[in-house]
Amino acid sequence: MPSTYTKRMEQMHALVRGEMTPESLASALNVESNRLAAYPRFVRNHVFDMLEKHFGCLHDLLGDRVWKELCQTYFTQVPCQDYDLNLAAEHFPEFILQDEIEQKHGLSVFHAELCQLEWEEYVVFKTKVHWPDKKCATPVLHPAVSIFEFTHTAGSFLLAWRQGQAGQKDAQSMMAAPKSERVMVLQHPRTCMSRTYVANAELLLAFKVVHDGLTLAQMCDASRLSEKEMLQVLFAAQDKGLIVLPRDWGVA
Amino acid sequence: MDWAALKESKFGVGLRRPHFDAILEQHRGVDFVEILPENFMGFGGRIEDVLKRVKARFPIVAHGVSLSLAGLDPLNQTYLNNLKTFVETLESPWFSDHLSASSGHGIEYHDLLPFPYTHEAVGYIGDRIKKVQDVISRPFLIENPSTYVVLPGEMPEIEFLCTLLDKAECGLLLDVNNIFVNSQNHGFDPYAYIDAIPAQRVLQMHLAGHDDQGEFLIDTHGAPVCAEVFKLYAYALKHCGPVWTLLEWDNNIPALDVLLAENQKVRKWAAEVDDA
Repeated sequence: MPSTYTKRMEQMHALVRGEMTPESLASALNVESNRLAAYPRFVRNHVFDMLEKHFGCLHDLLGDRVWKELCQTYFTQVPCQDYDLNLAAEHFPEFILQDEIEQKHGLSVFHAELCQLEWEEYVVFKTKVHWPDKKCATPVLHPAVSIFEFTHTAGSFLLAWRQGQAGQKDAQSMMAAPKSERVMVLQHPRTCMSRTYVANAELLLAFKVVHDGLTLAQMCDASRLSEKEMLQVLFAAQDKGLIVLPRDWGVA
Repeated sequence: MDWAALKESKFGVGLRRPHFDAILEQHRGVDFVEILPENFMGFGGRIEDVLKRVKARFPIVAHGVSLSLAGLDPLNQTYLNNLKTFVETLESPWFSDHLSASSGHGIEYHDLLPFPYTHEAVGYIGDRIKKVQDVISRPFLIENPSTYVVLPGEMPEIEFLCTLLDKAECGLLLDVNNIFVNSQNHGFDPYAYIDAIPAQRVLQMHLAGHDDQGEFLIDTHGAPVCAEVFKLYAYALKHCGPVWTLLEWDNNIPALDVLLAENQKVRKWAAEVDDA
């Protein structure tokens, strides 16, 4: 390509990456700087909007000032290389783990786990789940469950925040007295939407017995639950999308 | 390419998340839907599920934003190959993308940048379009872009566009709102622009709303279509003959009934052209 074309496109690239100001380029191109300024604004805002879309809880927790600084630094340091705009947010969880970023903005493990969880919900949402057979003869475990062992209660916080029942004060308490928890994220087989659960004893039991391929009688033996109680556990897990039961299970 | 054989009058809307469920129930006046492959390609879950159900109900046409025809990077072969499979699965009658640059140095802008209208650019972009057509193996349309600046070049936009259509032997998705926005931003006659368009190459048109920033117009796709754009649309239809018309509304997305009412307005304008 001729050098003039290449030069112009390189200049436009520098403009949208924030390496050149609209004012300095406007005079070189003989155009109005306020019009030229629209392009870097749009490019930057696409990434900022995507970060907001995927990490709304983290933003709320950190407040606007810290959030804007993080977004700006991320935009500069981690440009998007994928045509799926959502993936502009993909590296944000790793980005906030950098020592320099953590120290500058006072981020903690709690923030990192929360960020990781929010991103995982999108990953799970996008995943193509290949069920072996939904019309199964024996119980089937969801083939693509993400399980996290968090050192802080990031899952509980995220779920409570979504209900409008948790905010900055709760997060501070959780950070001050960390408690570990297991969190499951899965794509619900009926709605095809992401679902996040803090794993309780019943959910983990359903996971284990189905994973191990036990019969109902073996499940009852292993858990010391009656058949009725065991079925309640399994139906609750099926409702949550963790397992699929044969159609005739539980029918007398 | 026998472009005339593909000409047909249809009216459609973009498939957007807020309408995923509702559009299958409520779709009076919608003959087809348009999708951005970037928002569906490679997705499982709800996105894949909705796409399957929509495909069973409507013809779907794919309209991309990531080819970066005017960009300096080589064409993204992974994207192109994925696209080929995707548009085949969709049975999209053609594929379209914008006459602009959307990436550089491996970085995706997710926006459409202008480029200089030069003779060399005709050759460069024309060759890239031919490569796209070779891979996609179905009709390919370029969309005339909206721009806020004109980079120093050698010819006006319409001359560049017509020369490129000739060189690349591709079709045109005529965005009527973009013509209007550019005519206001850069001071040219939008009707003369349409007069110069090779009518047989136009298979599809876009209509959208824009935002008046005071000093210039921005192509936001976030408002109803204004009266001037509808008038221009009627003029373009008279010039080009039957096309698929897509109403774009991508920001401040309204309730489906508002979108469908706007689509009915489009149909009404087109019917008046037919009756004249």
